[in-house]
Amino acid sequence: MTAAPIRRLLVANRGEIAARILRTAKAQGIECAVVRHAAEDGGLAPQLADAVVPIEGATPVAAYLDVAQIVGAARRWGADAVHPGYGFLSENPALARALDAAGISFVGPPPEVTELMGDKISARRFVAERGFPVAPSAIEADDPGSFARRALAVGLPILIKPAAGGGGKGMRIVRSAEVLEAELAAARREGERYFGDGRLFVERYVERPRHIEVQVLGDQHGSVVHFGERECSVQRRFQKIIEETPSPALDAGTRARICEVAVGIARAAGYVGAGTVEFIFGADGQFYFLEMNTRLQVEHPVTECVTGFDLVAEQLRVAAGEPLGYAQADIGFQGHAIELRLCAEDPAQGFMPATGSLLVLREPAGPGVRVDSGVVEGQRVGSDFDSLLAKLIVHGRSRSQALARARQALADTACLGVATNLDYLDRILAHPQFAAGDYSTAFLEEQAAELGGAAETPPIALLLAAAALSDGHMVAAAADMPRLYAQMGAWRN
Amino acid sequence: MKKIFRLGDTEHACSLLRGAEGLILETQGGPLLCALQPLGAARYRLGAGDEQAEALIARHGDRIWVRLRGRTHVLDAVDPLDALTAAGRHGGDGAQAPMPGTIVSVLVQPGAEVKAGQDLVVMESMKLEVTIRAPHDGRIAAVHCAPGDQVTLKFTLVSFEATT
Repeated sequence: MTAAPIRRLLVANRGEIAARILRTAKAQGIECAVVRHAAEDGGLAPQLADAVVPIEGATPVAAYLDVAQIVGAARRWGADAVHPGYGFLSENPALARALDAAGISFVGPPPEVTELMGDKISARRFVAERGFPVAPSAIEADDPGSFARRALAVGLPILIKPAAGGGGKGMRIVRSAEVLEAELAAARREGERYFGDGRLFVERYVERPRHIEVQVLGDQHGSVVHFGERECSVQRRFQKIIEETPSPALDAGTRARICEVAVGIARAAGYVGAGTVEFIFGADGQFYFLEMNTRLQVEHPVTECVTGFDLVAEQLRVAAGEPLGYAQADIGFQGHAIELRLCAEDPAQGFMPATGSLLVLREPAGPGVRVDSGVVEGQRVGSDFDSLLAKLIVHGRSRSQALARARQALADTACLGVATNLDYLDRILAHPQFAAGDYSTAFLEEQAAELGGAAETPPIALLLAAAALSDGHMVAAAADMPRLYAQMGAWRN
Repeated sequence: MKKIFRLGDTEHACSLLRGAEGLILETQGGPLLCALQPLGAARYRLGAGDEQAEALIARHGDRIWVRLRGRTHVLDAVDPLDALTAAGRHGGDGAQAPMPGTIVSVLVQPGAEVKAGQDLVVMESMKLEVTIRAPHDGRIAAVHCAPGDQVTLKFTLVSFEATT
C-alpha cells in the first residue's frame, strides 16, 4: 500500500478476470501488462494488454502460484503495481510482502489484514471474539492428534474446509463417521496442491442454507462502506454458478443488518481495499459469518450493475492512497442484476471439466447485457486451469426483467467445440423455484433430475440432416453434384 | 453412403440420396427431403421434411456440434466397421479417465486383486480431484498411467484381467 498514482499495472492473473481488470485500467490511461505461461493459450487478456510478460513453472498453475515468478515479472516489466485478480496468489500475504520489499504496490489489503481475514481459521476466531455469530467448528491446528475426534464432536453432518481455501476446492461434506479419514486425506491433498497449505478445519454443515455475501470497500484512511449483498446460493459442489443482487430472501431490515455486520467486521479488521464478507443464511432467518474473501470476487459485476460503481477502479484508487470520497448514503441501488457463469463442464458427463477448441463462440449483447469473457473463438481450452470461460451479466429494472434478459442472453450465446453448462444454465433459469427466488444451496442437487434435461426431446430429424449434409463425403457420394459439394467444401473431415 | 450418428445414447443410421427435388435423408423414421443453406459465419438454414430452423454448425473430426433452438447438441459419426468391432469386443475391460487431466496417484499395482468400488487412481483436472474406482471385482492386468501423466478423456488407466 502506497500513496502514489499507478502508471504501470501488471495483472498477475488470466482468463476473464485478467481481461476485466485490463479494461478498467486501460480506460484510466494506465499502461498494462499481463503474465502468461508458454504452455497456455492465453485467450483474450494477452490481446487486451499492452505487454505480455512470460512466467515459468513446471506446470502453468505452478507459475501463477510462484511468488518469485510474479515479483520477477513485475520488476522486469517495471510495474509500479500488481493486481492479483482472484484465486492464485490473491489471498497470499507473501506476494504483498515481496512486492512491498521490491517497492511495488499490491492492489489489495495489506498483508497483516490478509493474514487475519484471508485465513479462514484466524478470521472466524477474530469474528467470534468480537461477538459476531459463527458456526460450531473444530480446527486441526489446535491439536492435530485429536482432530478427527473433535471433528465428529461438532456433530454430523460436517463440512471439511482447507484453512487457506476458496472456490470450494477441497471442501467435502461428511455425513458418516466411516468416511471421515478418507475425506480428510483428500481435502488435505487438494489444499496442499492448490493453496500450498494442507491445514483443515471442519464446521457444522447447515442443511439447505442460503449463501449470502456482502461487498465491502475500505480506504487507507479508515473509511469502510458496503455495496449491498449478493445472493450466491445456486451452487454445485460449492461452486457458485448463478449469483444475483438483491437477494430474493432478504427483507429490508435483514438486509440492513447483514450489511451492517459485514461493515462492522471489515472495520474491526482495519480492512483496506475491496473484500467480501460471506454469510450462511438459515431457513430461520438467522445468519452467521462464514469467511471473508480479501480480494475481488468472481461475481462482483452484479454489484457494479446495481450500484453503478466500477469496483476495479475503486480498488486502483484505494491502492493509490486516495480516500473513498463518498459516504454510505452516497451509494444507491438500482434494479436487479443476475450473473451466469459459463463453464467448460459437461453436464452429460457428471460436470466433468471439458476440453477442446472453441470452434464457434457467440456472445450476447443488448440492453442490460454485459459479458465478461476470457476466451476468443479458435482458442484451445485445456485442463490446466479453472473451467470458467465467461460470465454473462444482465441488469434490469426488476428481477423479472433481469430474468427475461438473462434467458434471452443465453439463447443468443453459442459455444461449439467445447462442452459447456450453457443449456443447463437455461434450465435453472426456467425452473419455477428459481423464478420464484425460492432456493437454497441444495437447490441444484435436489432438482438434479429435472435440471438434467432428460425431459427435453432433441429435434432428431433436423440434427441428423445437419450431420449428414455437413459431411462432405456423404454429400459427394449421394450424387455427382460438384456445385453443392463445392459449397460444402469448407468442412474438414 | 450410409453413416451412423450417435446422439446421446442412441445411434441413428442415415443415408443420403439424390431425389428429384433435392437430397433425401433416409433414417429409421423414413425418408425426408432435407437442405442446408450456408448463411455465413457458421450459420445455416436447415430443413428436414417440413421442419425448418436456423442453426450454428461446427465440425471437428467425427464430431458435429449444432446449436439449434437455444440448445447445444453433439453428434458423433460412428464408422459402421468400428461399431461392429466395438460390439464384438468383450475382454478389453478397464477403468477409464472420466475427464482429461493429470494423474495424481496410482493406488494399485498389476496383479492386485481389487473389489468393486475400491480406489484405483486419483486424478485431477481444472482443480477438481476425482478418484477412479474399480467398476467390479477383479485382478489388475496392467496400469497404464503414472503420477504426473497427462491423460485424455476415456484413456484406459487400469486394465483388468479377463475373467472366465
